[in-house]
Amino acid sequence: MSESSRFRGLREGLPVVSSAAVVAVMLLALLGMVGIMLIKGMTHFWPSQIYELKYDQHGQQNTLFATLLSEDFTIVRGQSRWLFNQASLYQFSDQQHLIEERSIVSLQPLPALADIQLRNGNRLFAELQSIVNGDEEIAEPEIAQVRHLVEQKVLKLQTLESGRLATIHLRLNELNLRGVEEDAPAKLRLQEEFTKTMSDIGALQQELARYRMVLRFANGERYELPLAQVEEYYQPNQFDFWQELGWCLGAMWDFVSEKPKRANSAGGVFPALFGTVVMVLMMTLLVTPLGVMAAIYLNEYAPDNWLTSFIRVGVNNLAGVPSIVYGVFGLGFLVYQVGGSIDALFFSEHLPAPTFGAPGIFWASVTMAMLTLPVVIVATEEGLRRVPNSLRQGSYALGATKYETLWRTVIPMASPGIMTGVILAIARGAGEVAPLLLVGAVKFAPSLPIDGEFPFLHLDRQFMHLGVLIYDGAFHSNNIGHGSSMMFASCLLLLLVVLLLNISAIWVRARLRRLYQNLLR
Amino acid sequence: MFEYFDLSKPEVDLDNLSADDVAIEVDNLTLYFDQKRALHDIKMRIPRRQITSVIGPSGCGKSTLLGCFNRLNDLIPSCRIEGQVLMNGRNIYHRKEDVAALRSKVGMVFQKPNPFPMSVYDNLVYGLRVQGVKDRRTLDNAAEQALRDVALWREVKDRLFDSALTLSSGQQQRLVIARAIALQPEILLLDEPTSALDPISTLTIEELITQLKQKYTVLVVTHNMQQAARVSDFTAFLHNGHLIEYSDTNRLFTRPKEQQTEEYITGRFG
Repeated sequence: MSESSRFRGLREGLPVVSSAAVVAVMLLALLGMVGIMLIKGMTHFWPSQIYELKYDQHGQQNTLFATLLSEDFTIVRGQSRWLFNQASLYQFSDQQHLIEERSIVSLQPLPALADIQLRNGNRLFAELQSIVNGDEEIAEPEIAQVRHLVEQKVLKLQTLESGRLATIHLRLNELNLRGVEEDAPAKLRLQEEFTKTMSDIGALQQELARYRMVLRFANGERYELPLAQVEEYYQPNQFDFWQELGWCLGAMWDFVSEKPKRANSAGGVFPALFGTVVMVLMMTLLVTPLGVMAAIYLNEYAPDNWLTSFIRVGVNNLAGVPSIVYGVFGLGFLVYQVGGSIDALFFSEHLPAPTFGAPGIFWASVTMAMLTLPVVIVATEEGLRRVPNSLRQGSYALGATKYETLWRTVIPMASPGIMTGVILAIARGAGEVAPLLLVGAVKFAPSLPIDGEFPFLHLDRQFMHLGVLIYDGAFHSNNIGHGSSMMFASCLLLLLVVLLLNISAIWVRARLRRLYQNLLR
Repeated sequence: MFEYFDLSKPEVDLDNLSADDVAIEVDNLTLYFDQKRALHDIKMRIPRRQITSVIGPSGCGKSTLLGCFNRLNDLIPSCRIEGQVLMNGRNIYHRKEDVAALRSKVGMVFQKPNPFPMSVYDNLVYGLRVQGVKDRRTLDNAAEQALRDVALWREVKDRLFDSALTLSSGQQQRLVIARAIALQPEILLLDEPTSALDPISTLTIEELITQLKQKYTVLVVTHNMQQAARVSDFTAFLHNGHLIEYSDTNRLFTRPKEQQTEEYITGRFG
């Protein structure tokens, strides 16, 4: 008796333990992944100390201003090497240095060291000595005021250059095209306006040139940097915790709200975020009606024969086709065939420049809709199957036709199932990268797919996508230091976007379920 | 219980019905599921504005017979029908018959209450909306009248826009009856309307059925013989798809002609 009961205990206990262990391993893997993204990504925002590093190199003493990325980065023959990140004016991107611990002479966080971010996306570490107006030094309390003034002047300069000057050029061009003579009054007026604007710009530039930052570089060189070139600067060695936190939050906001700079290795990721969300929403709008209609046909109208079963098997198999195949199909069939035909029919005046015959956000959304279609069909069919037959009968018994029954009773009741499909489709569609590379996502798009210009939604435009940005930034760019932490931050953001899209869909589903829960039990 | 036993002779004589008094005339109705016969040569005339009950053991074809009167059996692909069912002199199985319109004239209530997962009001006007009625006042009046007819008005008049699923199952079943009544049908088909309910709700529904007789022809399928005896004027006994006996309720329960009927009502089989 004891023997058999012991075996029985094992038989009952083993599945519990093993399945729990598997779940635990999966959970750990997931948490580990999120944890790495969180830690690596947050270093992108959290200000790190800048050190003055002095070290021996072949008997010579060298000085660097750098942040410490990792102690004990590698240990070679018992010698620990530390990894530093250095940013200087003369290099396009951050530089990393691997320095043997024993050659380090001194490592000091000088309080005046500043991380200065330039308007062109570059950044540099330097010792900030003073900020001057002409030759006078500006006192500490007035710096904020001066920076505000400079900011306004820079804005004014930008409007002059890209606003007024550009319009004058355009109008002059127009007049030239119409063959207006050189001494026509309209032209003379424009010429006059042009010289005046140019002199305004010159005056502004001269004014701006008076505000400078006096810096000392690591090699001791003194350098005066025009304040107009500086986007932002801070001195992390002087921060307390709350200032660090404030800086971190500000950096996060900049990250999601600004354009990328320096070939996507600095600045924000707003266009990619926007492109991802717009693409996913368009995909959802396309895939939901198509998937629901297909599922309704299969479940409600199609006769129960081998052809229907064959279609079902086919739909299920479509879910397993590699996504790059969808990309190739989208490019070959949708973009070149369908898009090319649309161009030939409706946009022939623009040819040979393609309108819809080139990769763009619309074709990307259609491709992704095809990719996620099986998921929606399967989930919707499941939802339709769960609608009790008694309700259909009740509707028929009240004189409703099949269509009316479907529309008024069955589809509303299957809507939680439909939403499940949509949630799965969003999860799959938002994370997919491979097909997008072929059908419209690019490393850099000059304009957003939605803007204030008629017709507001530009279906033919190429767009930026977070996944593509990560793929390109992490594997195809010379992104080290600051750039790579930015890729982790982008991963984190993508994860967050998928989560938010899913949560909103789940919220909708929960509402629908609450309406129908008593029946679906 | 005996107050529902109406021992007086019904005012209608089944054998000498005038044409106006016939609501449904079933003429040699045979029904197949694939090759299997489920109903054999049913012949019966169902009197107008009377309550007719159909009894018989499980699987004898009671519900199938009921499903022939609003063509709900059409939903089963393997179902095939021979013979005729005449309403107002028209064969409802004629191929030009508008089935949806027929079903709006022949209301049906099922064994398990099946209100739609909508508000009480939306349930009540479902049929009218399907008919294309949009006028708010018409809908309101129909809903109120239907609720009053099933004696539910007082209980739910403050909850019209709550989900119908919040009502008790007895209330739900009355709501489902009201939903059918709101369409002003000629005939009401009740398929074991009380078998999923508690005794009190059953009593309420039975009372309701006896009142519905004033306006509608009512057909009740039941496996509860006491219920058939209590509420109906006429009773049909079905066995294995054959109509064994069909007469007024008193005679069927007190002096059955067929031996099978007697054995069934005395509980010797079934």
